[in-house]
Amino acid sequence: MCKVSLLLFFIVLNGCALLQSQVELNSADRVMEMSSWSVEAEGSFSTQIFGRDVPTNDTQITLIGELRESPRSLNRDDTETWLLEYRGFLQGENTDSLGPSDLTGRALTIRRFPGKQVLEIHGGSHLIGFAENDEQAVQTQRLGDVFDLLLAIVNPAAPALDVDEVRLKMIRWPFSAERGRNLRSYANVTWTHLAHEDGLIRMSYRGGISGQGRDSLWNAEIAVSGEASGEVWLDEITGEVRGHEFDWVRVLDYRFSNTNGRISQRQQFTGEAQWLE
Amino acid sequence: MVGIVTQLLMGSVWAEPLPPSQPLYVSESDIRRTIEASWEIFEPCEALVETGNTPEPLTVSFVIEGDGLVSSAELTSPLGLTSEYASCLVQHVSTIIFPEHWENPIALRYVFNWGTQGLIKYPRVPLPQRLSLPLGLSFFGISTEELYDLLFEGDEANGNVE
Repeated sequence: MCKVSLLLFFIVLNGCALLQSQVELNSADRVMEMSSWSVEAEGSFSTQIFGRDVPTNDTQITLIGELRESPRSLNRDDTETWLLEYRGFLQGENTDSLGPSDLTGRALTIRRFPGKQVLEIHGGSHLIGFAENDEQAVQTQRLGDVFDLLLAIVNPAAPALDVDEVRLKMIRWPFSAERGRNLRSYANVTWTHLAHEDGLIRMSYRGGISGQGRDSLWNAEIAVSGEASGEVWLDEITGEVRGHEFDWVRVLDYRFSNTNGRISQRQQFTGEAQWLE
Repeated sequence: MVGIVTQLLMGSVWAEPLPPSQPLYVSESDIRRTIEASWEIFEPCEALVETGNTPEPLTVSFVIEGDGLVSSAELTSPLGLTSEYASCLVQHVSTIIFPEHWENPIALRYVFNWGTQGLIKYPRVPLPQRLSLPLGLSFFGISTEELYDLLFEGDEANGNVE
């Protein structure tokens, strides 16, 4: 009886392990290949602190670098796990004052269904905080959570449309730093297929941004709102992003437990991503 | 068999890390309040003030570990002072138990000036956990520490706390 129980136990244990395990990267009907994009984004930030008579500075940050996406695993639930590396990043108040960014060399993983929206990310904690100190914060803030929209810029998951066809589809990018610290933003946008030329599909989109988050370190609840618009160029065969111009506004409202102080920050992002390889 | 399964089940329960419950860091007023609440431990030192010619103010530098205990303390101003009073202050600062806080030691200075409130100078060593703004928020000219104090000390400063 004991032996049978042990056998059953190990069969169940083995089954659980298999369910969670990864399989080969490429199957007969799916090929996962590395891609990289050059990205350039300008952010303008306007902040208000409610309930406190304190002036705040409007700030601007330009971020330039290469995002490289390479396959990590094809999972049993048919999702894919990708490694997204931040390579050669520079940041500064504008393009004339760019210096090395501490984002360089950092990475996170993304899980998603093939060609679909990002389901979840891991490793975001490496992309936040300050590199040296916060006295020179514009130069040393790591910005992975502020410019988290870059995850969506290279993974917009545009719908398949015929020319002139219009459809509503969400762009989502659930940034997560660690347990209890996450920021889930959604752009519920209307896509329009503008043209089909030179092997590329050109589409535009426009719509509202919503979402929510929390930061347990600060006992903060975060409300997300805003607007997103842009144009993407997709490979007609693979559907992969070849180019993306964007103009997004996101407003983050922070409410904290045990205090009447509130913070609201308006974040305007403009920029583009260009496929490199 | 039952033991193994029970152990595995318990393992899966305990494997889930609990969200942190400690504060982000110990604020200036937390430290000030803790020292003031411990004021009676300095009574032996007060006796020494009366019997000696002790310059004021005296600055004691000390380090608070994550568990709230003081790991080191020394007199940093005036330099070279070796009075019993100063030694007493340093010795008794070391026995104060501060609130637990996030992972890194806090190095700070406290100025003792009998009859007036001590003045805390902020740590000069950056502490990683304190260097993270609320998630998603970009820097806007106020340091993380200033923002924390502004939000969580502001109610008291603004008279919003009963």
